[in-house]
Amino acid sequence: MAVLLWLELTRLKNGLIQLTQSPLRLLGFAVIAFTLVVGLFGQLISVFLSATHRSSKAGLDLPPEILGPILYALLLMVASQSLLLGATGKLFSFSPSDVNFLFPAPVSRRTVLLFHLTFDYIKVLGLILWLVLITLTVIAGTGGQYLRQYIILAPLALTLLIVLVTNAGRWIHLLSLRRRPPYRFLPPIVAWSSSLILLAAVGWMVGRSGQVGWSVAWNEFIGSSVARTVLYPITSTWEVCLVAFTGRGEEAVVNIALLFLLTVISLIVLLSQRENFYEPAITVSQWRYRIREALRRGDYEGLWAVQVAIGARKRPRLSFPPFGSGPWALLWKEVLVSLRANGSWVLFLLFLSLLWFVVAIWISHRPFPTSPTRRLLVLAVFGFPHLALAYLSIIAPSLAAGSVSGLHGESGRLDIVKALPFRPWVRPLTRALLPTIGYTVLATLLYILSHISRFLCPSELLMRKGLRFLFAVETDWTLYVILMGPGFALTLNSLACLMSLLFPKMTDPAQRFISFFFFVLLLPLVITPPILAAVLLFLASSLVIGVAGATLLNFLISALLLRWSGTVFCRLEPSES
Amino acid sequence: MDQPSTNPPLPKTATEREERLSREGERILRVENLVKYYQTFPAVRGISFQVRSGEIVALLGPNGAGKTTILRTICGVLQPTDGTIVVNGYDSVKNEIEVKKRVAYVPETPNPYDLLTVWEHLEFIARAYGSDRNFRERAVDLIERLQLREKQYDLVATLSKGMKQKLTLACAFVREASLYLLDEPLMGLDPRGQKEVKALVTESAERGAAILISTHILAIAEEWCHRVLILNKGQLVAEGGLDDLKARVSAGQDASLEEVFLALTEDQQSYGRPPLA
Repeated sequence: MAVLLWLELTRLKNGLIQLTQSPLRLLGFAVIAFTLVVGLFGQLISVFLSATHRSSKAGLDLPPEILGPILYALLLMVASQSLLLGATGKLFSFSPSDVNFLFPAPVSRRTVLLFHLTFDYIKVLGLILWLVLITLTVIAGTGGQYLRQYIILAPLALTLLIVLVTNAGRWIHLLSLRRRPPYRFLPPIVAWSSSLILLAAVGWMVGRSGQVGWSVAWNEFIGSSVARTVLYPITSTWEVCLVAFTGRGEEAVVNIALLFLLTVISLIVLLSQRENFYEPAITVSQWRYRIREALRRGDYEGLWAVQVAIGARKRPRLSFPPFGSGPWALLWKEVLVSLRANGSWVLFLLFLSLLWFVVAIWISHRPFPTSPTRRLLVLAVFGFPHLALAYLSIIAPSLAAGSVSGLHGESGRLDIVKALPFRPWVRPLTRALLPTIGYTVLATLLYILSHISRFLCPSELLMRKGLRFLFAVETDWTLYVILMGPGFALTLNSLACLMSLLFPKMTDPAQRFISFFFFVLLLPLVITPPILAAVLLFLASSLVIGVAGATLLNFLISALLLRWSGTVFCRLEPSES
Repeated sequence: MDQPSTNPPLPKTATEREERLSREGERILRVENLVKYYQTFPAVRGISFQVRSGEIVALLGPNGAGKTTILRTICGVLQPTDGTIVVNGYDSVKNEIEVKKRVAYVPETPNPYDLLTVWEHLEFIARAYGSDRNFRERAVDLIERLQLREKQYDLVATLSKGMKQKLTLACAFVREASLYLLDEPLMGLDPRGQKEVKALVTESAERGAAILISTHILAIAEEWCHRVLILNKGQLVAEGGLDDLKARVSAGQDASLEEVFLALTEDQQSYGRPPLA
């Protein structure tokens, strides 16, 4: 135990020393620390002041009659999630260094586990205190009155609940490591029985709500003897959380004492297990490490690969035939990888389109409804492609901001990418082209659907001028979206690529923020000229000329941005990633 | 610094090897019918071997043969599905801590703690395994020999991959273990580092330690080791000195270990996709 304590304290000391040597990190840390200290002191002072005039009157803005059921539902969700996380072994996650140095060391597994649990508990407590602090600050800001002297009990009870339930989950996981039945079937048994209990509760709720309404049914469920017995830890935590309104402090103290006792028992039971958790922990640790690293790099393709490896996502069977040579091969690789990473989305969109088509044909063969609600439904079905197309053109910039993740992901593979025999701007170009192609394909699909929609749409629906515009009957705005969209998408993606290359360190939050800030700042600069050109040319000549001019200008701006990106890419060194 | 003594040549025959082993040392590691499954996948299928005091044994095999799994199971990171592992008379399952005290393990991928300095890392090892009187001298000596002196007060996060490998090796050799398990010990090392590692291995063997090295570098097996274990698909396909192995595959006296290895594991070459046109 002493050696582990020494290890953690030394790491903490070195981490703090390192923090003081990085001004940006120090600044971020100082801001967080300042907020914490100010918030904590503010609350302590207000608790001290309000403790003098204790009152049992509940006077919070949000009445406990509403807050209570919501809180119970939230506690139920948190407890279920914690139990599941523990039972599936996902909480047995260690660093690669622990796996390499701590696991082979002659330190008992019980000690390692106890130390690991202690850190987990501290993290839980810290997180809950932080959340409570934020909540308190918000409530205090809105002028809510409540019994502040009891508010410290809620995070304590919540921490005990989470620790207790995760301990139970971990215990189930350790038992399942015994490999022989019935132990190894424990996690699925727990998952299935929990689901069945939940379904039974929901079924009862649905039946009961038909008679007395949802609110009463939920309150009856919470107060029922079954729920109070089976879900005792949740119910007692819930009661402690509500003590600020009820004022029953003595009961809360008893509840907390019982929760504490149960938590200690759960810890003793957990530590008494002799199962070797190292082996499953290695697997979980490796996955978690890979996921964390992929997230830190912003490598969403890498993240997808890990998810496929652990079975969290299905292995896609999509492929794309090879095309071209030289830089085209790079584009083919991008298309193939993207198709595999987002294959499920592509299939989902195709399925959705087919479903929409079937529904639209079915509705078009039925008489136009007279009920306003049904008319609204018909409008929603036929208006869907047009609205989706309009929405797509609005969210294009945010798509572009997310589209450069692959470029960030490749920061770890610069040795390979930079060795390819291409001009420097080819790499940013292929990266910018990919989301542009994605956008164009999606927009074209929606354009086709919108035309089918216009064809199948009942004439009764198009009586109003506004709807005729929406359905592109009066002015075919969808055509211009299709014509201008790709040009704008390319410009936005080129800008996003440039930003990601200028600020390549995705692991540095400061650089991530600056990159996003400059993207938003420069966005109007790069899209205003094409829009102006389109308007001016339209006024001077025709809409077609306006669209053509805007597209041409978009391509020119994109070429400039990509040229610049190429220069930056050329300077980028693997060590900088 | 004194030059380390050269390694004795490989014994020519099985009898000579047995004579030498019985003369030279006790049995440090005994693995009997070791089986290791990952879920339903058999990574190791009933392997038995032993390593004696002063013996350097190479564990060879194609990728996925089960070399790393064997090392990890011996050092207690993995639990054997079946079979027995005994180190210095201690069973690895029943006396896990006693076994761990006697084993030094160098993992395949060096992953030292980023927020410890090189020196603190060695100190951690000394504390975790129980330091002896000579720890400080040995640590200073190892830091010097593995060219870590300039970096000894730097955080591990600032080290290169090769430096991290050297630190991991230093963590293993800073202790006087009975059994050294080295998984690809030369990965990422410069020639001087490789030479020092060879010297450390030889010195440890001369001190009486048993050494089991998993490697893909056949030259290591040929030049450093007394005996070779060849694995294929989780099974031990051959064991013995170079001459024994040559005899087994009916190779001539001039045949290299590479030819012997390929002959013994040739079925590995048959699978895989057809080459691109």
